[in-house]
Amino acid sequence: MGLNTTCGCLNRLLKNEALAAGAHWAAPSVVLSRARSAATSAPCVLALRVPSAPQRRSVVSQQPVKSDPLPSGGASLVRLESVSRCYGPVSALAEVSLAVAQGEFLSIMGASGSGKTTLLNIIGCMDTATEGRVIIDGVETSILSRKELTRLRREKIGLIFQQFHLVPHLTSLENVMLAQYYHSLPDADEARLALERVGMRHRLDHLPRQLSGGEQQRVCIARALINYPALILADEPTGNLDEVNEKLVVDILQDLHKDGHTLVVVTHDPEIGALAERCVRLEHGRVAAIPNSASSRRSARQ
Amino acid sequence: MLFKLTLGSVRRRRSRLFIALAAVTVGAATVAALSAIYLDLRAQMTRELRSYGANLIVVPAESGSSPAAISGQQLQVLRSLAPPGSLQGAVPYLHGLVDVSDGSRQARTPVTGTIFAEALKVNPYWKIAGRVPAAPGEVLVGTLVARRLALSPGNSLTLSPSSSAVVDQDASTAGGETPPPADRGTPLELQVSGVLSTGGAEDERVFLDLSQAQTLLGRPDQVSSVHLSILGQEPQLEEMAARIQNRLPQLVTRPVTRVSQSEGRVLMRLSLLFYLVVGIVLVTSALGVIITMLNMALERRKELGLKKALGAENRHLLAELLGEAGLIGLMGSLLGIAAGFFLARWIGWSVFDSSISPRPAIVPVTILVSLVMAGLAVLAPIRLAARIDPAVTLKEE
Repeated sequence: MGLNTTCGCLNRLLKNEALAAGAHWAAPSVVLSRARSAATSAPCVLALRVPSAPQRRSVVSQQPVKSDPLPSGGASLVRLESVSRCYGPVSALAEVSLAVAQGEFLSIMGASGSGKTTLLNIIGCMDTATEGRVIIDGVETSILSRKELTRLRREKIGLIFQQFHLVPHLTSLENVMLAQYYHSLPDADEARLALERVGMRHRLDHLPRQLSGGEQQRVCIARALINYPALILADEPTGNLDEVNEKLVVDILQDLHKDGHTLVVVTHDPEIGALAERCVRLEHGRVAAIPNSASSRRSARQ
Repeated sequence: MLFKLTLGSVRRRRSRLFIALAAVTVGAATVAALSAIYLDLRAQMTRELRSYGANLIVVPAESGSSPAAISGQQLQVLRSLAPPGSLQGAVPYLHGLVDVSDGSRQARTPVTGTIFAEALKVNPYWKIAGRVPAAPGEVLVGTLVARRLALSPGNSLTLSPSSSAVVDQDASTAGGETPPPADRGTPLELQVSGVLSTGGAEDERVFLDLSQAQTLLGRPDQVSSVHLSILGQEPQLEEMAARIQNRLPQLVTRPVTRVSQSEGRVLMRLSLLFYLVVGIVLVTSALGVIITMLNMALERRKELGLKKALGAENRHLLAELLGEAGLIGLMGSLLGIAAGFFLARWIGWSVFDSSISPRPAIVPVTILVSLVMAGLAVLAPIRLAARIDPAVTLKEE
């Protein structure tokens, strides 16, 4: 990484934290490192070790949130306590309790209509729970306004969509810069580097319609990572891809996990489910099972 | 980035934006063209309305025994009293009665001596079969006189001084009649150059050159009345009348209120028409822009939802939508100003037969109107964007 880009990254991180501190958190300590993939052709991503939850103080929730013991033993980045979500008389989620540790790779599986996307939307601050508490990186989201939820999502969460959702009239580079623009300041060099790391160096100035599904998804991943989010949420990230592109995206997700990112992936794909450290199964809006790592992998493969 | 987003959005959705741009352009062109015309309208229309004829008549005040007349010197003073550029024409008339004969028939006929060039300036409605007298030996005969004496252009006639009283038409309307002077002129052999038809009293007269009439009637350097055609409405006419009264108290001025009032009414109606047309065009254009922008926003629901999911606040979307609207408004207004200028010129030539000059004041007004129109059009999309729920929108197929 060039010096300028490194400085840009640090500045962004510090600004990110400063913004966050102004709104919700005390200034944390940030450690930035970058992992390079062993295989030169394989996409490589920025690795960001975000500070653990106890280091941050929520000014919104007033009360410091205690972390429950987690299956992986780490501090919880995400914690859901008896979360329910109803749409009128329909209950999409019922009494879901869940914790995701810092750096954990969690998959959420279940049949269609089991509440996977609703759960992901609640964790991603795009929806709110009807009942229960949701704590993201020490901040209780149920008491935040829509604007505060947007800010939290912008600063802490990277989103990867099944349908990619790129802005059709913006190039790959501009799509990545868009996330930077809403976050703080767009930086073309940094966005270019992010796209290069997901193997999109040759498609920087292409519009989404000029890209294959796999390429669009890689742009989507670059966009999700560009602001160094604490948590990456992916909703069926390989759902619209062929085998070759699925493999590419799975590799990227694995690299992200290896680099210490916290990943929550909703999937129908048992292969991806098996990659995760833990797999949560939802049935009719309820958690059917939260097995430990080894058994969850077996469960996902079945 | 905002500029890039706005420009990219406008550039890559050309077909849709073309409709919005066209609507703004039409509105801006109408505002620019009609404003230019309207600003020139009063002058143009006042000039055009002068074809109704004179709007100020000057006659000598009654002075007992001596024949009332306006001298050549007074005529010069009258001409000089009008504000610069406002005098369309000042036509002197000398009226009298003569015997007209074509050799076989003879009839006592009123004659009027005038300066034909001036008379045609003030009375552009005169219809002449034949041509306007070009030399002092030529006359215009009224259509009724021509019928009575079977005269047509090219015929000759003889005008002899009549022994009867000289009837001063303008003075007679006020009850005046001047006695014939003692030294009458000799008969004149003249040629008919044209037959005049106005539908009025002129149809019963013979018009000849002023100096010849003065000689024939024995009234050198005298005229019976002066008809003035002045640019302006009632206040300007009253001001001119007061000025004449002040400078030439021996003359009486009579504003032709029928003409000046109708001019005022016509101009007022034209102003109302201007506001109405501009209003209707602006409302129609605004509706076009509003519907197009709203359609575009509805089509972009997913994009707006995505932007919210990525962390865009309402203010970000507001800035983007306003930026797009501003760009459309600005482009539309510039195109509209150019189109409006050419439209105004075309209307000027085809309707007023004169050019409409471009006015710099129209440019900021048109840009402002276009921006306001585009700003109003973006209100509904802004409202829509504010209500978008990213979770719901991104789920939509």
